[in-house]
Amino acid sequence: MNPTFAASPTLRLSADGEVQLAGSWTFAGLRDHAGLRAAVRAQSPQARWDVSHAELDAVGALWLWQDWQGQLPAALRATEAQRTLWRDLVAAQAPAPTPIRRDALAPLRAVGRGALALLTQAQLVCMLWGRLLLASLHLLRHPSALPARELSANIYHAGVSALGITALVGLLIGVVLSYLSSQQLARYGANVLIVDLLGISILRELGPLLAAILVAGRSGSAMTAQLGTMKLNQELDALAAMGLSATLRLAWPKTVALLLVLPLLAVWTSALALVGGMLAAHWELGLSFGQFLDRFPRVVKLVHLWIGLGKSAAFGLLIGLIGCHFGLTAPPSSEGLGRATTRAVVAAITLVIVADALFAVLFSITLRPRP
Amino acid sequence: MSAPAVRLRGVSTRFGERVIHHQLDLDVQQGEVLALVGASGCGKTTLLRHMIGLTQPAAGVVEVLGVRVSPEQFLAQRGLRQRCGVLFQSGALFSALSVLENVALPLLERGGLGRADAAHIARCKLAQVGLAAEDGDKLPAQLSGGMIKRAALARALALDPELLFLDEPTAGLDPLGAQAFVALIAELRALHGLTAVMVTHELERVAPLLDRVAVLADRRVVAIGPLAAVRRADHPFIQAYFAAHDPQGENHGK
Repeated sequence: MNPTFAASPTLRLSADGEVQLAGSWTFAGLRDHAGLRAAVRAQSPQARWDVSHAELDAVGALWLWQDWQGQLPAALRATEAQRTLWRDLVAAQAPAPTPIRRDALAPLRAVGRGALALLTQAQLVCMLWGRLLLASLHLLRHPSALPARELSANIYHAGVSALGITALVGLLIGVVLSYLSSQQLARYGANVLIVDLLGISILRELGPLLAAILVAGRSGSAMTAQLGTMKLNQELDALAAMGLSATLRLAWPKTVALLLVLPLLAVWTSALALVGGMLAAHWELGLSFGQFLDRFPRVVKLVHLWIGLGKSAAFGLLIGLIGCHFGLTAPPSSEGLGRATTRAVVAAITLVIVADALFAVLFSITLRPRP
Repeated sequence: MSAPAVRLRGVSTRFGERVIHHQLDLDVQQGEVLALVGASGCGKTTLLRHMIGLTQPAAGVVEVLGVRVSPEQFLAQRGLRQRCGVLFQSGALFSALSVLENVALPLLERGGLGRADAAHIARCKLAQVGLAAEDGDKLPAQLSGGMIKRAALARALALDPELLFLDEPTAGLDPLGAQAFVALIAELRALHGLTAVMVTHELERVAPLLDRVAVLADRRVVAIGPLAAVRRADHPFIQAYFAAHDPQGENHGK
C-alpha cells in the first residue's frame, strides 16, 4: 500500500454479491471520482462489503460511513487499522446541539455587563495610577533607582521622533483655520481680530489637542503593543521573578515621559500652527508679520499658554495610563493583543477629548473680558 | 526500493559569513523514522526548514516526495505541502482560534470538505492524540505545554500526511508525557505507515521509534544508520555526544 503508486479508487461487485472496494479511497483519490460516492450509496449497507484492499484515510472513512447511513455494514471485511479509523470517527460524532434558550432580559443583561466591564476597567486604571504614585514615592526615597535610561529612551521615542509629524499637522491646521476665519472676519472689516482668534484657539485648545491625539495614536498604541507582547512572551513574569517591578521599570518611565514630553510637543505644535496662521493671514488679509507679532502679546494673555501646558501634561498622563493599562492587561493571544491596542487608542483619544471638555468648563473664568 | 521520501544533494547554507551546511547529502527512505541529532546551532532545524520549504539553501537540491522544493513556486507546490505535516517546536497553534478550529483549518482550506465533516474529522484527530472533547473548545493559551504539543500534532496529522516533520517533539514534556507522546507516534505509525523526520536532543526518549539516526557535525552528515551502529562510529563529536548522553557508560559499544 504505497501511497506514491496509489491507484484510483474502484468499486466492484463480485460474482457472489460482495461489494469490493480497492485503490485509494482517500481524499486525494475520491476528489477526482465524485461519482463513486453515489455508487456506494446505491449499494445496500446490508450487503457484504470488502474494504480490506482499499487504502483509507480519515476523509475516505468518513464519507463511506456517511454513505452507509452512519453505521458499519454487518458483513464487513476490513483491516484492524481501518476498523480503528471508524471506531475513532464514531466516537468523535458531534454532540447533540444544546437548544438555545431565549432570554427576554438579554439586552438588559448586556447593558449591565458592559457597564460593569467599564467600571472594572476604570478601577484597574485607578489601581495602576496608584501603583505609579507609589513608584514615584519609592523613587523619591531611593533616587538611585530612577530608570533614567528607559525614561530618556521613551522621551526620545514619544517626543523627539514625533516632532516632524506634529509640525506638519500643526502648520496645516494653522493655515486652514486662519484661511477660513479670515474670510469671515474680512466681511466685517475685523481683519486684525484674526490674531486674537488664532492666539487663543491654538494656544489653549488646538495645539494641546492635536499633539495629544497624534501622540495617542503613535505612542499609546506602541506602549500597548510592547507591553502586551512582553506579557505574551512571559517577559513580565521574568521581571517579577527577578524582583524588578514592571510598574517601576516599564509603566513609570513611559507615563512620566509622556507627562514631560506632551507639554513640549504642544508648544511646538502651537508654534507651528501660529506660523501657519500668520502666513495665511498675510496672504488672505495682507496682515504683515510685524503687525501680527506686535498685536499677539497684547491680546493673548499668558494664562492661555499656562492652561495649554497644564492640559497637555494631564493628557500625557492619561495617554500613558491608558496605554500601559491595556498593554499590561492584554489577553495572551495575537487577536486579543490587536484588540487591546485598538481599544487603547480609542480610549485614549476619547478620554483626552472628554478631559478637554471638562477643562474648558473648569477654566471658562479666564475667558471673561478684561475689566 | 522505492524513491526516497526526502532527498538532499549538495546542500549548502550560509548565514552571512557563517557556513552552516557544506555539500550535505541526506536521504530519508519511505516509511522510516529518521532522527537528526547534533550540537545546538549546528543547523538541524535549518535543515528541517529547507525540507518543509520555508527556506532555500544557498546551493544544492532539496527533493520532497519526488518534487524539487522551491519557495518561489509556493502556490504551485500547495499540493506538495498538503502531503506533509509539520509539528513546530512550540506548537505554533493559531492563538486566535480554538483548538478544534486549529485542527479543522487545514481540512477546510484544502477544500472539498464541508464544515461539519471537517469538524468531525478534527474531533477524531483530537481524540487520536488523546485530547478530551471539551479541550477542543479551549484556546491555545488555556492549554498546558503537553496539551499544546498534542493539539499541534493533531493539526499536523489533520490531512493524513505521508510525511511528518517533527521539531523537538519531546522537548518541554515531562518523562511520562514524553513517553506517552512517543507511544502515540508509534501507534499512528503502525496504523498509517508514516514517514517521519525529527530533530531531537532527547535521543534516548525517542529511541524506540527510530529506524535510523543522522548525526550532523562539521557542516555535514558525519554518520547515518541504526542507533547502535551510529554509537560505534569513530568520530570525536559522536563519541563525546553519546558519552554525555549516558554517563554511566551503559550500552557503550567499544
